This record gives sequence, structure tokens and C-alpha cells, in this order.
Amino acid sequence: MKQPFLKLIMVGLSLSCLCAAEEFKIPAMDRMAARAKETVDVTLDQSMLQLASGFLSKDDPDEAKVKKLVAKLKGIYVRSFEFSKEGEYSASDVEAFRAQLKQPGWSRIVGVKSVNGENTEIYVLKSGDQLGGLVVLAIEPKEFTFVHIDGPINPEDLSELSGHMGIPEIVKPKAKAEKKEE
Amino acid sequence: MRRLALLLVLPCLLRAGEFDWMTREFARQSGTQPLHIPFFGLARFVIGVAHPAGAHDLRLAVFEHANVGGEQFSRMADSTVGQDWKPIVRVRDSSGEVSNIYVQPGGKRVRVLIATRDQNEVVFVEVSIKPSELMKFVDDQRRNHHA
Repeated sequence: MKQPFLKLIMVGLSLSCLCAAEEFKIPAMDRMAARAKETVDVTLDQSMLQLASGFLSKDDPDEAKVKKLVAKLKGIYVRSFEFSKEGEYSASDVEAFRAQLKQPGWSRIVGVKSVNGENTEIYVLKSGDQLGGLVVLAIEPKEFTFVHIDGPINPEDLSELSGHMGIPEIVKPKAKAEKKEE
Repeated sequence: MRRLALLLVLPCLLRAGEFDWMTREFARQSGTQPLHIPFFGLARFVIGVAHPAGAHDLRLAVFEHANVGGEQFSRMADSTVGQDWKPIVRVRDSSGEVSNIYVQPGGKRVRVLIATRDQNEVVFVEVSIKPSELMKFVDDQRRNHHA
């Protein structure tokens, strides 16, 4: 009698682990998608990352670095929304994303504000001594991009991944104010 | 000998059958028929023999006057391709243009299915590629470009 109960617990635990590894579910995404001129949705889970890394060349030094990085990751999820004019998404929409990142384990490490309204925020998930994930919010007047990298990654590796696997090119904006938080 | 030939041909027939089934299912759901593309069989034969850019097979279905909206198309494409295909990229714009990219790994080759809708035209393209050969092709092109 005990065994089926134990099995049920095991299944429940493994399912909860799977759910935790899944991408964020943020209702604001649907609201933004409905108003956006263009939406891009990239979903690469672990199996797809392994597959996609097969497309990367070992001979090219840049691609070889990305290949090595990707081997450790569990998933890359990108949601990008482009709007035809400014003000089509609200501060509360962005706040809905930030609210998800206030969960235990997550902390904001970088916040960049530029004079032309292009803001970038980087959040990391601490998992023991390592970083278990990373989220980038790129907030622009007519564009909003959410990137979730699930798995062990360092923020400095982000530049290696930029422009690959659906992650937009990360160009350092001319920052007016940069603050680093723990 | 006949059995061996059948074993070699059967996987190709099954794959072709899946794409045909998808296009028939889309035709049924949308009420439109795919266009006949002249000499497409010849193009497939060339791809099957020469493997340009690591491509081993190409399937194409074009539907004109498909009266389906962007959201409806996305739903229909998802239900038509089934769960064996993993959606990796979805692009949608406010004019109703939709592009979905699905992938299905199969040994050393990868099958990529692109379903697009632009105004009233719907296109399904399936290509079977070998990633290593594709990368070699890209690298060669890059080298030639720099030379």
C-alpha cells in the first residue's frame, strides 16, 4: 500500500522539478502580444539546445565557445514584442515580469538606465554556490524583450550567447546611471 | 533483394506520407487545395542526389486564397503538425503574418518544418538536413566570401 503512495510522491516531486525548469508563465505576455506590431517567441528546451548546438561549428572559435556554454543549459526562452508607437505597453506590464523575479532565489544584479529610455535589467537565480539561471529584461520605448536562460550560466557568458539561439545582440547602451545590487 | 529495397524505400515513403497527411489535413480544415508546382518532383530528385547545403529532402505545399486568420492559422498549424514536431520559433505581426518553425530530430538528420501565412497565402516547407553538412556549407561560403 505504501509503495504506490511513494511512487505518487516521486512522480509529484519530479513533475514539480519539471515545472520549475519550465519557462515563466506571465499573463502580461498575452496582453503585450495582443498590442504588439510583431512578436517573436523562441523556445529551446534542453533537447532542442543539443540539437541547435549541432548547427554550431567547432572550427569557428566564437561558435565553439557558444557550443560549450549551451551544453550545460536546460533551456533558452525568448519573448520579444515590438510596438508601432510608444506607450503601447504600460509600466504595470513590466512590473508583472519583475514580480515573477521577486521569488526566492532571484536577485537583480544589474540595472542600466540610458537617456533615450533603453533600460536593461539582469536577474540571476542562485542555486547553491552556482547560478542556476539568468533573466534579461530589455525595456525600450517601442520594444520589450524578455530572455530566460535556464541552467548554469555566468552573466559574463551572456555576451558569448548574444546573437545566438534567438538571443538578441546585446549592445551595451550608453549608460547614464548604472547600479549594481547584490 | 526485394525486401532490402522495400526496407530502404519504406522510411522515405512514411516521411512523405506524413507531410502529405499534414497538407491534406490543412486542406480539409481550411477548405483550400494545395497548388500544383510544375517540375517540383525534379527539384526533389536533384536535392535527393546532390544534397545541397546538407539538405536531403524537400517538401513544399502552397495554398493560395486560404481564408484563415493569423491566430486561426497558428492553431491549425499546431494541430496539423502534431506533437512529434517541437515548435521552436513563432513570429507573428499585427498584419496577420505568421511564421512558425517546428523541428523533429531524427538520428543524424534534423527535419525542419516551416509554416507561414502571409495575407491569404499559406506555405508549408519541410526540409531534412544534416547539421554538420549545413555548417560545412556555411563555413565554405564564408571562406569563399573572405577569399
